[in-house]
Amino acid sequence: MSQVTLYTITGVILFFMGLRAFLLYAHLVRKILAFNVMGSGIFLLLVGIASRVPCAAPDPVPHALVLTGIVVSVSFTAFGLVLLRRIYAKTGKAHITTEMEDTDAQ
Amino acid sequence: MSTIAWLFDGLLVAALLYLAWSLLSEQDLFKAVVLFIAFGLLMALSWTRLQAPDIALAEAVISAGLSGVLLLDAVGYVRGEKRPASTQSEAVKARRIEPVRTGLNLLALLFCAALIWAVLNLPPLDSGLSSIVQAQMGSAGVTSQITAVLLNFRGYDTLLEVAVLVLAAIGCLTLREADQSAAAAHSREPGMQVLDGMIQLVIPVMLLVSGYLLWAGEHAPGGAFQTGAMLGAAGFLLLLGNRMHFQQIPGWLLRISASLGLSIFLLVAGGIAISGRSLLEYPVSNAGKLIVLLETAISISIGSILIILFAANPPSASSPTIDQATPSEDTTEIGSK
Repeated sequence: MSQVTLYTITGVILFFMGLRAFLLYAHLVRKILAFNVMGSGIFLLLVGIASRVPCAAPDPVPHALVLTGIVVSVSFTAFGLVLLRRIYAKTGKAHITTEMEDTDAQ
Repeated sequence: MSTIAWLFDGLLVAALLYLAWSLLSEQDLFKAVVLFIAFGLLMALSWTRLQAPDIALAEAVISAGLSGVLLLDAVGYVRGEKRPASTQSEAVKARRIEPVRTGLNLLALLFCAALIWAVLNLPPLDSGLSSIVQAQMGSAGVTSQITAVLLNFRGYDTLLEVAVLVLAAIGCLTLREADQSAAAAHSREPGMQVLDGMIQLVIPVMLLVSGYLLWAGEHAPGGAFQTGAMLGAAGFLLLLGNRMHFQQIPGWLLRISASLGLSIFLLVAGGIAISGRSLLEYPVSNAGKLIVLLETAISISIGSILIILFAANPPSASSPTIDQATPSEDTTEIGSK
């Protein structure tokens, strides 16, 4: 096992941490944070897989993909936050409520 | 040396996992976002350890800087949220959710273990696509492998990515609140003098660095994405310091600069297709010039798109006070008259 494998495994764990939080939390800011952590996990996994051959230059194609991915993820974050603001301005809520929850609250 | 490197990597990985865990489970959203910024900086450090300086540059500017600012503003905006305080229904809900939560945790653990097993069992000596990239570098027009992949070999991906960015900017402009007057009349606080001084010092340096990154992209880490991110960050600072007002930027300028990258990319692709080659197959003799042209246009576009994304998420000073119902100055004046 090399140091690169260490980062690859960290990427996998980060992805599942993010996925779990993304599914469990109802607050929308938390969901966006969790989505970003998931993204970081995927990027680590890709770059880790790109440099499996020791003492050789890493594969540039996954690096380019990750670079693209980082820029897309910031635009996703910004768009999600604009949507969040709209939802908040209209309903006064920043978390997801299911119909079941709404009837409970009444 | 190797022991120290192992120690450093181990500590870095442990810090990453700890920060991710605490930012996801932190109750206070503000703290969670601050932890997220720290997480982004450590990610940038990890990229340098993984020999990916291009990604490290982008990550340091974007994840740690730009996303952090956007998230902090959003947290300030939704701070006044009232949660329904019916404890009984909360308890009922918690009981109903508990099995789902346990199931999800188990499922996540199972998949996580399976994926780790898969990673450990990958064929160890597989250089992937790097040999193909190296064989084609002669016809790329640039000497940096990453730039060659981004703008030549996989130019199609980048074309679509720039299109996604333009779409995000259009979406943000459409959805942003119509009433932006409050943000424009953002009062000048005493502390702003420090910010003013810093802006005067930092903005020229940022512009210089972005010019350098654009130039360096041809042969070293750097390129359109890092340049665009740096330009966007300079724009964020100008907007935050009230040196630039989003409303005063003419709409046509904004539209042209945001769509410049996509338009030129499409023109190049179309021109090449008309001349009988396939979509983004640059003629070898002109590949270098075309890539520099595209990089410049994409940098300007990414910079202005990031500024649009930021302006669509105005600082929380302008947030509507939904729950407190404090009368604004205008309404009290009308009432007293």
